[in-house]
Amino acid sequence: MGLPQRMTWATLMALGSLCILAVLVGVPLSAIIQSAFREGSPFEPGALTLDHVWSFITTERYRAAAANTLIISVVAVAVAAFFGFTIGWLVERTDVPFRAPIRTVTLVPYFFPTFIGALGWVFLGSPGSGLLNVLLRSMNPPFGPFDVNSIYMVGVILGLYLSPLAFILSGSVISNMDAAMEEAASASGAPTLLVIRKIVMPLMAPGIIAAAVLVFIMALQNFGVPVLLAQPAGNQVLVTQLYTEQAFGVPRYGPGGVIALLLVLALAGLQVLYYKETAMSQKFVTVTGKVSRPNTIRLGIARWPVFVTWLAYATLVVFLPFGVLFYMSLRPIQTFGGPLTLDNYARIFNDPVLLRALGNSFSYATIGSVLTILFALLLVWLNTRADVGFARILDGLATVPIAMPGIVLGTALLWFWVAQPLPVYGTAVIIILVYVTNFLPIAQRNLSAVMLQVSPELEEAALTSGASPARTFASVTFPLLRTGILSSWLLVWLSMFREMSAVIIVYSIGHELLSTTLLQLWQDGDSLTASAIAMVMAAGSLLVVIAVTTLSARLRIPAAGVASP
Amino acid sequence: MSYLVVQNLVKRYGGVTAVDGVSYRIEQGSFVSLLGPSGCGKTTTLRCIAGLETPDEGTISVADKVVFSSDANVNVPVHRRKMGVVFQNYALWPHMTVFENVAFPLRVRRYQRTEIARRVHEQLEMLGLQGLERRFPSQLSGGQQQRVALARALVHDSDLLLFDEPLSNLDAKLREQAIFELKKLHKKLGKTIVYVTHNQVEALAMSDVMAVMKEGAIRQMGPPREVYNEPEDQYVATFVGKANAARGRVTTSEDGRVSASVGDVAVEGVAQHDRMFRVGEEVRLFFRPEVTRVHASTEVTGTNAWVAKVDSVAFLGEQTEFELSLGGLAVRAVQLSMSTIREGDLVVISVNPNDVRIVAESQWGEA
Repeated sequence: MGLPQRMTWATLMALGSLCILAVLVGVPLSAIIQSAFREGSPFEPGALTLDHVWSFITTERYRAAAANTLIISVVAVAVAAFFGFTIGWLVERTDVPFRAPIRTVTLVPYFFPTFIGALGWVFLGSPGSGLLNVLLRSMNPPFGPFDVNSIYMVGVILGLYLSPLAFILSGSVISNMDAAMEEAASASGAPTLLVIRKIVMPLMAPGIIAAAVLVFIMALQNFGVPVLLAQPAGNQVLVTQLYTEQAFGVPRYGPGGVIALLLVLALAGLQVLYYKETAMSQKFVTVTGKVSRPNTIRLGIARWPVFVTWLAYATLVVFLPFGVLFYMSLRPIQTFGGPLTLDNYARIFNDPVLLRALGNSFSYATIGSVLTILFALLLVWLNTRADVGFARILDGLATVPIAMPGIVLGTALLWFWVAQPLPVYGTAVIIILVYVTNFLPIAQRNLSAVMLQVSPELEEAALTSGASPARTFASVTFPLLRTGILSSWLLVWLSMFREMSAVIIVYSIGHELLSTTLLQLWQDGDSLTASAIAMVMAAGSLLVVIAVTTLSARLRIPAAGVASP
Repeated sequence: MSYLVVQNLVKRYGGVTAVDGVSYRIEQGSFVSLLGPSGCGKTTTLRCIAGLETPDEGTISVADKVVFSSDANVNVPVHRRKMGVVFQNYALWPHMTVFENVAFPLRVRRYQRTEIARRVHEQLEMLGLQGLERRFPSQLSGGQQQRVALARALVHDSDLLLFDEPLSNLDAKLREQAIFELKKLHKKLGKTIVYVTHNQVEALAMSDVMAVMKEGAIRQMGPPREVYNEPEDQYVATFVGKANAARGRVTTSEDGRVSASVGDVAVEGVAQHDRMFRVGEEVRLFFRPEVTRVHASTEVTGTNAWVAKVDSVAFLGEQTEFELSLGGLAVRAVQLSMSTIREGDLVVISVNPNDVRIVAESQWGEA
């Protein structure tokens, strides 16, 4: 019998995937729980204990880190939501000038890791030598200095760099609003304010709340901004506290496990909230693609002042920080004014460690992303096309890592593998493991969306035309999926290439990466080479994006799906 | 020997039985429609024949070869069952040109290059698609896409064609045209066709035999005229066309001619299948709106003629629809457009006794 045979084959692969997922997800989770509730190391089980929890609660620096995390995240969400929503509304609904360039420039920081923006702000805002503080001091009367290392400023800067995410999310919420609903309310005789209060706000609320929750999730686990801006002033957040205690290969269990567990639980709760709000906002989306465009709101004489205000925002978030970073990467010493040099770049290519980091960053991201995409592809195929009963469990397991911030995942894997006889810690394997686990959910979500676009009917048509299942995959399924797979792969590659927090704990000598050497150099006081590395990372990302989009354009199908007559 | 034989087909999804013991035989070269509302199991039946679904029970054989049997543990995989399938959304591969789409069934069968080109061109020409070889599906109109899908199903010359609501995505005008084209094509090629649709007009216009399905079972199967004129029950009568049906009691029954009283109204009709009725037996009297004549007069002459009141008139262009009340009874009538009859008028309606079917009440059932 043809079909049952294929089913057992699929079942076998599903069982294999289950084993892999059990290791990928089970190991870090159990390491965290064991560490939080057992004496000694998590894998030489001591007695169960609540001492670690108690010491977390009673220790001043842990309480401070938790409070700082909350303050920074709340400030960041407020700032990101304000700018993201306002700019989204301006671009979608008003006649503000240069809407397309505003959209593009606002999105720029989204393509760079947050630590690059933070590094720019180190040069702009440090109390002594920061460019902005120097300028403020020279004003008459003198002004400032403002302290970029204060907890609230860290929250503001993090918020500025999360505002592109808020912009993307709220932009789609605003543009999904069907103008017909507002018009129907107005036609029923409701005055404008009542329409906003009773129709517009309730319809947009779930989408906006979901966006805010996602920004909060990103803020809570952000590592790049607090490690560069908060930590130097002695302010810790939970993720930097974990990093400080666990870095450099010496595992310290107990309170570390409690911090990790706290973060995992908080993120899991927030993710549930996020999915609930998203599901709610999906319910409000009109079923047809026919969303009528609302009337553009005329800003009148406010048009240009509004644009100038946006320009000020873009200057502070994009032009100034990235500009000063580029400038510093060309400076022999960390001052403003004077000759420029390429020495910082030359150092990357002359220093064996930095050169190795460059090679490692490219090769590990490539290996990790290919493995992640292949595994995610298998999971998605099992879930959407194969008739395997427990495929949904696989789907659920593969999304678990979204509740683990990179640094937590890295720490947990360090705890586990340091204690094992297998040579995993101290090799590239642990870095690849961290990559695959951390980015599996992204790959899986993207590929699911890609797979949904290919109607099963297209594959059935090939089968009924006489093509074998293998031929069907080669001639129909794969060609239809390949550009989608390629763009998912690009996203995963970029995420791995720029990742800092997940690998900062597990990298070792010989297996340095650009992101880890950047942090290392900066901590050693060499901000200039760190800037050059940031530039190389940006250039490397850009190069790969251009190469892949060029390739993708060649592979593109004239128009996917069946067009309407 | 019948060409396609389906015996006792059962398909369940979880606790839901989608197909519940369907059996039929289809002669070689005949056009058979499976007609029914969505969820009646017609598409599932078709997919079982194609091999896209594995039935839970039953036997399917094509041209004397068993392709599926739950008892004998036979299940020929989809790609080895020789047939052409036209899907509801056409399922044209967006990354292949028209030529490549149509050539695909030949390529997987390893036909020679020149033979492939010859056959594809022949097929495209027959369907009026010549000149579109290099277009992609997205560059075609809906009607053209539908014909490309048809060409792909026909090109490898299989004797069995399966259609899954192929016209449901076309607009009304194109659909009407396609019905005639498909009918001509069937006459010309003489293939055996199983055609799934929820549209009674398609089924009536094209089929040699139609099967009306409900809840996973066939309620009535026969030539379109027979199903339309002599529906076995209320469900078939109302699914295939509109029906006037009244409850009555038999007053006389002789040689298939039956008189019955519906309240105070006396009606004459013909017993379905020449069945004999007892006097006083409860029956249904059934007649179609289009055999109900409306006369702009109040003078009653002959049998089966009654004075009725016009409740509403709907002018539909070539024809006009009336809702009338006759005593307490609602009656629908359809006439070619004419006359000056208006709402509230009193008119005479009449039905030829040969057009009134008398069915036993117990058989009629609910819709």
